[in-house]
Amino acid sequence: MLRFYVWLYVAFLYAPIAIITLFSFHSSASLTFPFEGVSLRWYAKIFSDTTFLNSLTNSLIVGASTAAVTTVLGSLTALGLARLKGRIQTVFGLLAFGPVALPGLFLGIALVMLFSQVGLQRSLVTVTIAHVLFTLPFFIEAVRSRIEYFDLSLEEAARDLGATPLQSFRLVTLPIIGPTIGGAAILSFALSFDEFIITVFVSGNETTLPLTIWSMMRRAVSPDINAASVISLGLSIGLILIGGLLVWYQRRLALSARAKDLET
Amino acid sequence: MVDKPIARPFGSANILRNDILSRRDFLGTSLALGAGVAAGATLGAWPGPAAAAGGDLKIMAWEGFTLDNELKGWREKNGVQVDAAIISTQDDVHAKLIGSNPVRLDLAEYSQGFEKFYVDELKIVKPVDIAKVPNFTPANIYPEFYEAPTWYWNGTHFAVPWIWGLNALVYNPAMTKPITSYKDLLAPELKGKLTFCDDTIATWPMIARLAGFGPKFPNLTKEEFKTAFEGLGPYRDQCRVFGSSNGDVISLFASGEIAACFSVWSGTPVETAKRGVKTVYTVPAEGAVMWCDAWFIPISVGNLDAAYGFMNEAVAAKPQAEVAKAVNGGAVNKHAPALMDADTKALFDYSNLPQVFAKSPLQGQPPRVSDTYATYDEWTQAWTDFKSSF
Amino acid sequence: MMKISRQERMGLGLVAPSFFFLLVFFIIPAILLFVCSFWMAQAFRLIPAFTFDNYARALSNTGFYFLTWNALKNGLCTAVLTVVLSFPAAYFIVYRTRGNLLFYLILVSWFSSYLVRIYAWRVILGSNGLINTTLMQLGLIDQPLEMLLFSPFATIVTLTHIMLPFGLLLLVSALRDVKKEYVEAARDLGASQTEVLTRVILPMCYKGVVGAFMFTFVISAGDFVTPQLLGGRDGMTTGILIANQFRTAGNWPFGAAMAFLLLAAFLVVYLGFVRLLDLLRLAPGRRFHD
Repeated sequence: MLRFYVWLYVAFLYAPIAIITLFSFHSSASLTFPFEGVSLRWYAKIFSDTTFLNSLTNSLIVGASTAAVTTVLGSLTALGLARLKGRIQTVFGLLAFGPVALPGLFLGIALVMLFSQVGLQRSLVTVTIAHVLFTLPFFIEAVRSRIEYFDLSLEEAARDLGATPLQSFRLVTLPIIGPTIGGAAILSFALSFDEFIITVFVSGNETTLPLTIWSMMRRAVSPDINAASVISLGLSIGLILIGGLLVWYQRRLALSARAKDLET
Repeated sequence: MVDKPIARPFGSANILRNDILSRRDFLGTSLALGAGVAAGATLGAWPGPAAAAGGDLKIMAWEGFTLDNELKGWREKNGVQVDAAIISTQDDVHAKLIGSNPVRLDLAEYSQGFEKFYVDELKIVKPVDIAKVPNFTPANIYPEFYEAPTWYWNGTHFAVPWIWGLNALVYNPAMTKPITSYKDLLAPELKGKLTFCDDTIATWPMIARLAGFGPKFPNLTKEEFKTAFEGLGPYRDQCRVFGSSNGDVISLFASGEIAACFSVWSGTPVETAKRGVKTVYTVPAEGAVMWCDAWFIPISVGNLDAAYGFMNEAVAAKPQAEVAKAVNGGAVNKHAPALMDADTKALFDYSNLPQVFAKSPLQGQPPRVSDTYATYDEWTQAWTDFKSSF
Repeated sequence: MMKISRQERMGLGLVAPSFFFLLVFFIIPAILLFVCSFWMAQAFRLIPAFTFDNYARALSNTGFYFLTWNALKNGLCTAVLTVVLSFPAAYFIVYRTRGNLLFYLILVSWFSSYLVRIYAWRVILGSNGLINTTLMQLGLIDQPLEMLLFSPFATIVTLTHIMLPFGLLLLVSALRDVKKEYVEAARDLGASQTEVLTRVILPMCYKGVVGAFMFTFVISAGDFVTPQLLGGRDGMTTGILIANQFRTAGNWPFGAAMAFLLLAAFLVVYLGFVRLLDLLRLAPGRRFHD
């Protein structure tokens, strides 16, 4: 029963995506049934559109930078929070939750005011800053409970056995929390890649993909936006697969290294 | 709103100092930028008119209005790399330019009605040296666009108008009988079949016109303004959804959700036809609304020569004819219609432009500050209230 | 100052970078905006002042209440649906599967553009859309169901669709902390399925449930694009009012004031939700405090 429900859940998630994909191959400009025929014209159009290609590149740059910065900041924070107690932990936990407790719009405009005060040019850098602000709470929330319950005594034990803090982190902590962090990093990338409301305010003269899709939509909604979406979906899946393979490979290396350590 | 500012700066004024949007800073920034540009210009030999230097050109324009295809030859010949940011609403443009840290833009667009606001209030426009746009002459450009008050006053050109069109009533003839007047939109069979496009330039003048205040727009007294919005109630009752943009309205027509749109881009029927739905755009008895986009040079310009070169090419006959076809718009260059295909040429009556202007005048926007007339702020508020049903 | 343990010192050091980041890019801008909400403005020019006019103006506008009610309604329905629908799926993933394939499959669905998905829902729910056409061909209805699209229903379905993977992620991460052993122990001690769920699992993943609820609530209640495109004539939400002030009308202080009022409304919902869980005895209570 539960299994059936879960597949229903997945079907619900994928139904619109199936529609998007189907219509990205539509031979006419219409996004409504009846489906008239198959064509690659929207992909051809999109790939010859420099605005689209530029914004795709920009979004990839921003997404990757956001994921990197968020992962570093977020992992440190989650590890730190596990070591803190009482009021400090509560206060900082709330603070880290803060940015998403506010409407995205609010963050956008607050940041614009700040950037204006310090004279920081709006560019992909400011977009990245805004995205990190937005993704950090999600990252921390996603890995925090995992890390909070992660037994610090394991790490202590490693330290007692003579491991340096870095070694104990690499050999004990990382293999345990690694997959969670990897997942959360991908999540940050996804959030950044699709962020629209904050970006509207903080972007300079470089456009990101959602902004381009939005302006394409404002003129005339065609299957080209579907094609754009399918391409970004494909790219993301590719990135996740690569990321997954890397994590898997590293784990194997770590495991074999540990096995070797035990032998000696 | 209180009219008189209470000048009481905050204690921690250094951080919270109100220099974000102050005039002084605009001036300071524009002066500094102006000086920088001037210095740059004197260092290199100033090239002849429109002999665009290469380099990158950062423009901001509406999607489809970046002249990507039309100016391909020009870009290659002059080694110019155009980097286009896309406008979704006019607000995007000034959002980039106001404040103490304007984003570098070499060229951007504004619709009519924004001129005084941009030039006098926000001070984000650099005057155009028209001699550097040799294609923009009375011999080439229709008199309705050349030196019109929307882009030219005090003997100064502030922008170069380059593309225009009409916003009018659009309907689906398969779902309603022909519409000749706005009153027809109140027919019972159109209940739940009407939409408004959330485009203030297209809609506000029509709201005034329906109440009989058409010629007065954009300056309606607060009383007239109230009456105008009150008269709009019955139309709202017919409405199914508010189309958030031209594109949205097109998709609503294409999916058969609506039968008519109050006032929208004249190119709509061409786009719905591509999606298998025939619609008609009509200029009803009450008239229609004209829009016109103009290129202006923002104060944060970096590559002035390329900006001039680009503007000059944008108003040349051939690119004009091509872009008019691409966006279903109208040309400002007298020699462009001769180069157009029949459909594009038939969009507007080029042989009798004064007549087009008389029926669908180019109107500005409500004043930003006024005691007598309803302000832009009040219009926005009333429009939002109208959309959200009270 | 009391003595700080080595662990805590290290903890403080670890959270320091994020703290500075949040200080500079969140706290300071938020304070700026809060101060700004007491200022005045005319056409993008800010005038420093200290006035409650912006708040008074927002609170005296019936539209503000109406749209905020819409926003809260969208947010609440979406958050409840997301948590309720995702919980069984999360449960399944954590306790009944070994690999992460299913989990990733669900997460990947999130990578398709949110704006494009809104249009996909129009194709599904429209008068000539997938559902109406199918129902009509089956002869179940003879007129398309107009209320499917451009209604609160459409907004909530779409927002739920967007939020599901997200709620799932948070719930999975919370459930992973409730070890299988606890569940088995409770079963061995004679607890029924329901008791295991309400007495063991839910209290132990309480934080995750509240987190998932709040994240989805805030994002969906703050969204104004989906309601605008799918909610129909009466579907707009407060976000659009705020956005208008920042982008079109240029009255930032008024927009800021409305944003803070919306925030206050969110806070009320949060406290209400926590209280509700408390009343339902699903909150951990004293048992899990250490």
